Amino acid sequence: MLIQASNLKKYYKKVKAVDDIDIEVREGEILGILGPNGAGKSTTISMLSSLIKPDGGKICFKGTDISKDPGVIRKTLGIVPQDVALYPDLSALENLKFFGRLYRLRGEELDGRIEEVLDLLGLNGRARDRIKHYSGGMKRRVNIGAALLHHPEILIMDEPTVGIDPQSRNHILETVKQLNSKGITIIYTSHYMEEVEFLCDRIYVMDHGRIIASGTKEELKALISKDETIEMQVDRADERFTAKLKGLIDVKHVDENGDRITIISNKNSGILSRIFEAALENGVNLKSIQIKVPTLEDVFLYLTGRGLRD
Amino acid sequence: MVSLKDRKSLVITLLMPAVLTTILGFAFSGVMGGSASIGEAKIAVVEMGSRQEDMARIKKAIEDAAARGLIKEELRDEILDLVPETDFQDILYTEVLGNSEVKKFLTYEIMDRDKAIQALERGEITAVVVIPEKFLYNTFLNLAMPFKNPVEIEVIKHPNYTLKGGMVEGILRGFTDALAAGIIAKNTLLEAAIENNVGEKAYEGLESITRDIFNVRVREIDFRRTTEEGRKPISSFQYYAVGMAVMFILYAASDGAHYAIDEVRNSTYSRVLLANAGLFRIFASRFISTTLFTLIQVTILMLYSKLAFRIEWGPPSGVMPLTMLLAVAIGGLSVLLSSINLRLKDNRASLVFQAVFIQFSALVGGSFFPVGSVPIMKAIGGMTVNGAALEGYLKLMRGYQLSDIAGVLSTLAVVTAVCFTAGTYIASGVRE
Ligand SMILES: Nc1ncnc2c1ncn2[C@@H]1O[C@H](COP(=O)(O)OP(=O)(O)OP(=O)(O)O)[C@@H](O)[C@H]1O
Ligand SMILES: [Mg+2]
Repeated sequence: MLIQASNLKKYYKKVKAVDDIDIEVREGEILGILGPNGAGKSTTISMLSSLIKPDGGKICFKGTDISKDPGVIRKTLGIVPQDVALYPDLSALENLKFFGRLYRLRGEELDGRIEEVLDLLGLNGRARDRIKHYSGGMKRRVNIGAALLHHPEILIMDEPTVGIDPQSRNHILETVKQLNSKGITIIYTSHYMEEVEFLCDRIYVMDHGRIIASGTKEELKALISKDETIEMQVDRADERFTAKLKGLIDVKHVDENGDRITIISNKNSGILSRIFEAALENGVNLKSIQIKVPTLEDVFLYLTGRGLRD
Repeated sequence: MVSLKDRKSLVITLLMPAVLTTILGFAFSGVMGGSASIGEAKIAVVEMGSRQEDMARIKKAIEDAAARGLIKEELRDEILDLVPETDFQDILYTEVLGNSEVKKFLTYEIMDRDKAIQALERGEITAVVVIPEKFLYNTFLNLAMPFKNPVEIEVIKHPNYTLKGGMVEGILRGFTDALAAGIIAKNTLLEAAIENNVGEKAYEGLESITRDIFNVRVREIDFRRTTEEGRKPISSFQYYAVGMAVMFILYAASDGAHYAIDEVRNSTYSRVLLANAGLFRIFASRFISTTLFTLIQVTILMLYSKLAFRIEWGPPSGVMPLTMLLAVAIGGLSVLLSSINLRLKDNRASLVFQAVFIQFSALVGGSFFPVGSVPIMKAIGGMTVNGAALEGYLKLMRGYQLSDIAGVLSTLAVVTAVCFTAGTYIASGVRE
């Protein structure tokens, strides 16, 4: 076990940012922490990386309590903060040089590492431009690069793809896979379930400072395996129709979003015919209907009754 | 970590002092006498002669003239009645120095010469005005008779108070100019005399009276007699070049502390912490970068003022150590402010420092005008980094040596030590 955290707590005046959670990180995995805004993801990883002190609980890195010796984890840790943590008035090259020097890299070794990082992130062309003139996607890439210079064993990435174009995003996701294949353990937080689903071996689902589910993708989806998700599009929103759907036997949850309706119901309950009946009764035309393979989004919806993004 | 990254603030901290030096230097070099902000000046008036004796001499001269038939017998008594009104010295006291406008920034006291010089050397007064022997008598003769006896009023200034000394000089020049032009005389003796057809020759003489006869001779007190070597006066440009330089380097301290908070805000601080750089390294680099920045800033200002105003900053053997220690003190201040900022997790400390403290210490430290005459300001200002540095630089400009500014240097050293101690203490409470 690389990191073992138990009963972690962090309370701010009114908010229980992290409320008594247990997390373990295994060597070589990509661990996902999935949760909506304010779930407590950033607070959790700040504690894991020794940047803030927990109000309760204990974090062990390879068996050593990091509150006693934060040095051990810091040396082997690379962190990609949620906000781009670079000096905007310096160029990418200068930023990388600066952070590399902090890790006591010098001379040819430093130059070599910078070269390697710029290659990996496809930044060779504009390394001498100032960060503040970069696009969002490029800033994010340098932000990742700065965490890689010292060849960390563990890379913690806090929503590294927020607010960027799909192309940069794909590039970053591929880079994460590539880094992991080289043996780097990765902790990846996101509120995009597609990213977590694509990348992660194991996932913690967080909400309101608590872990509401954890396991592999399959394990999480098995949570709702007794259920199936039905998505349909109707020609008009109709209150009586949705009320009727909610009243149907076997229906567990109905989520309405304009002309799109999502239903979670018991599996194999022959619900489709009853949905058609209800539509007919209320004069609603179904434009499409399908039974979906469950996603992590559905898991979150199932667990909390809310979508990941509002 | 890198103070020089913000190029805009670089321009402001380097350019502003130069601009302000220029403006203030010009503003105060032209109208030194007029500005109320110069503060009140105390002067001593030394009377070398005796007014009674002069009066007696004047009366005797009139009687002699009457005896020799130069003045008609029947007018003699009338003229003698007018003599008391020719007391120009009294006019100097009541009309010039006693003028309600003048009194606002200048008070005088009559002293004997030795006492006055001592008071001047102790800095208790701003200037000494010496009224020569036979002043009244000679003035009377110059106005009334064809004889020309040069009359010279001496103004002795203290090199510390060039601004106010210039003001005193200006006032007395106005007085003697008025004497020479006969303005005062006309209003007193001569009008009466001429109306009564007394002394046509006197009237003719009046026209030929030139300003050379009434003169204000200015000199600066020479300390050689009493203390050290000759001191040079400080020009307004010199004064404000130093004043602005020491004020603006304070901004370097607070800018440094701003960066500390910027680093927290843009998370680079987390990166630095995680690199295990530790608070010590963070503060050390803050200290070094601010110190270097200050050195560069002061050097540029020195070069600028040297080129633009031909200002000499004094012997390098004194200027260099003073500048080094000043830069170190500013670095220390920046460490202190950074630690407060980090402790409070925002830049309140450096903002307050910038908005309130810099203005205050620039004021009491004498960056805006000399505070020598306001004891409380001088006392507080002397303990500020900028006030101490200002005093040090001005002394060096005046010709003092390194050993003479030991007090200033130790003030800066103490400030640095206090900043480091307090900064370390506060930083030890910085967590997370
Ligand atoms: N320094 C702080 N002071 C007060 N409250 C805080 C602080 N940091 C976080 N919080 C609160 O704790 C809760 C969890 O915040 P956190 O940043 O960990 O969430 P998150 O899951 O990372 O959200 P996001 O997706 O928006 O980044 C939020 O309600 C937040 O407002
Ligand atoms: Mg976050």
